[in-house]
Amino acid sequence: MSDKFNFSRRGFLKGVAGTAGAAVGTRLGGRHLIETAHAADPEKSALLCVFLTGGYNALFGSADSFQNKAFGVTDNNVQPLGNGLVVDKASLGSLPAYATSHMASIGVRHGISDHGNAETMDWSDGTRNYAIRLAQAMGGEAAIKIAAIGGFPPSAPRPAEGNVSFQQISNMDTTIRALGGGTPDPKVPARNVAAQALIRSQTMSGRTVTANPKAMTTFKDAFDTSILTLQKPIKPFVFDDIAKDYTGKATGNSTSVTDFTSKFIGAELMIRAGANVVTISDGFNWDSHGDTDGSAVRKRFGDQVMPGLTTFVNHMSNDPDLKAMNIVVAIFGDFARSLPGSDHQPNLTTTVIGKYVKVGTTGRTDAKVGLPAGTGSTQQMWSYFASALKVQTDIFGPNPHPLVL
Amino acid sequence: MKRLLLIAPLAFAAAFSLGCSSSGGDKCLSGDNCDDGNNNGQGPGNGAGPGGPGGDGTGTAAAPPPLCTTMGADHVGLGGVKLTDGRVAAIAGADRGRMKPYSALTGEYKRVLGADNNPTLVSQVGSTFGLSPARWYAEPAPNAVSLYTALRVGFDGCLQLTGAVANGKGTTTGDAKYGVAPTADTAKAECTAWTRSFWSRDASPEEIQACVDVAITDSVKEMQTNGQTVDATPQRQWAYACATVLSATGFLSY
Repeated sequence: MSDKFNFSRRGFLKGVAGTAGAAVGTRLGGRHLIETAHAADPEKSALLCVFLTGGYNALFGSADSFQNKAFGVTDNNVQPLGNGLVVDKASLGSLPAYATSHMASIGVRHGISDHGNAETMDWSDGTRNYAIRLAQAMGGEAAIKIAAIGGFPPSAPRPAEGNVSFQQISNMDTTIRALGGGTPDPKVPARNVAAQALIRSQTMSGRTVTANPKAMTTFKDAFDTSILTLQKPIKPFVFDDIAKDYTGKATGNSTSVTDFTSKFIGAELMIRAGANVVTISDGFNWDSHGDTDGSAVRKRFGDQVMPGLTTFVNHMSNDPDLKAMNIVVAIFGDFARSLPGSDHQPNLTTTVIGKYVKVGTTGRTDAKVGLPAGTGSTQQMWSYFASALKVQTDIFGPNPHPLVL
Repeated sequence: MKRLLLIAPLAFAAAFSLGCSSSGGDKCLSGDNCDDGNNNGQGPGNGAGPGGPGGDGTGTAAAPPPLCTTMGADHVGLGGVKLTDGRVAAIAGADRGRMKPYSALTGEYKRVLGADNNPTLVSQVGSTFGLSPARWYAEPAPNAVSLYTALRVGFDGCLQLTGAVANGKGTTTGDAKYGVAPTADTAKAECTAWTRSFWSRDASPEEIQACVDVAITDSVKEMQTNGQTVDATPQRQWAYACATVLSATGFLSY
């Protein structure tokens, strides 16, 4: 089910130029972990969240905490990156130089050790979703401002913020069609008529949605966003152009969203389409009880996350279009793993990679996986993301991660 | 302890039976108006009619469903927690609307359009509609992409229905009436029939008009990918209106 599309990266950049131009006025130079950006830099920014449902072992972002003590960390499998940041050598330490020179570990002392509440708190204040709030604050012209590739991050509420709602992307072929790509086909509705048709369908659905304000709220969000998408200029992507570096196949790439690699492809597609926040998560595969030497999570991370992440980071630093953007990648999970049994630790060390991220750590744990008192919680983590993205609006309060500089 | 275990179910049953009674008694339960002050009489109604979860919410003719007004005595469970704690008071029938799962939609298009006009696209978009892996279930929810895809799927089938493209048997068998451009009157008649058939309920005048507007106004000019506009054929105009009805919650939800 592959499609070949006419795609011009330059054309896409032109398409987002208005977005970037509009966005520049809402961003300012960061501080602390954030390098000073050029004041007039009209950058489009985007956040990619890689969420490891179940947990994210601190051995990755705070490797020296366990050196020769736990989780199989030795002198030989750690990689110092500078400013006190020491990471797992085979994974984070082996990413392209762009990543290792723009990486930080952010401490999150959320105090929660059960999955449901930790996941809820990672993504929300219990009522409003941090990611959606951030996507709204980032502004821009894209119809889909926040997208979940594959499934949604678990547990957290995700009510729309204004006209910004979390949109799930589960197949890239149909997504590209919605964005206006694909070969001409008489069985595909003309875009101008399709937009009007969905407006009429929304009218027909109005009373049902009103009568079911909670159950049918996703219909309201879907109508709003799909109509807006159809009213935007066409983004003629060639899927294989994006996918080939991830898969090694020049043509015939699957458009299904299945594994981490395909999710990274989907994330890149949506970022190119103008999304402000994109999330990747998978099933409940990271609850690594009993993994006392860290071998299981190392293997899983290496096999599943690293291939797509490496290519994505390469595109961040080498692809002209992505290089022109301020893209931030955040890797986190429910919580870190505790000792001795790799169980539930009520805090988290998040890995962040981005153009304006300076190497350093506020997430270095002690040998018992504890973080210092006063370390921020999840809202402060999102405040850091916003700072790295140069979002001017102080939606999450001040960024409390200044010590790494 | 054994005695407690015997008494508890009896107490629970008594509390349950006393826990709720309708102010309207039998009359209320039979569906007559039983406005008791807690319900303002503007409930959405129930069933498949215009006020039901799949309905249009007007509910003007339907009596509001009965609500408990006498809550009875609280019963404290064995854990020391009142069994009524956390109970949500809501109007019966409200907020029950759900999107049809993909497994149902595949049959629904065939049902309303005819087996020969089953859209071929529907078999290729399971993941977009949230098709769950075997032995798993996820509540389907629409999103921007799936809703647009629903329009595409509906348009695919409606093109076959109107004879704009060959149907599943490889023949073009659209009714001759679709070979004539829709007018306000013909579109109204067809939209009325489609909404009744696709939604299993009668549409309101506003809903029918929305369909008519697509048929006689919105679909007259099609913009091609090169930016040029062309006149749509009558069959395609009809197909757009048909697909619009199939993309509304009347068809996509229940």
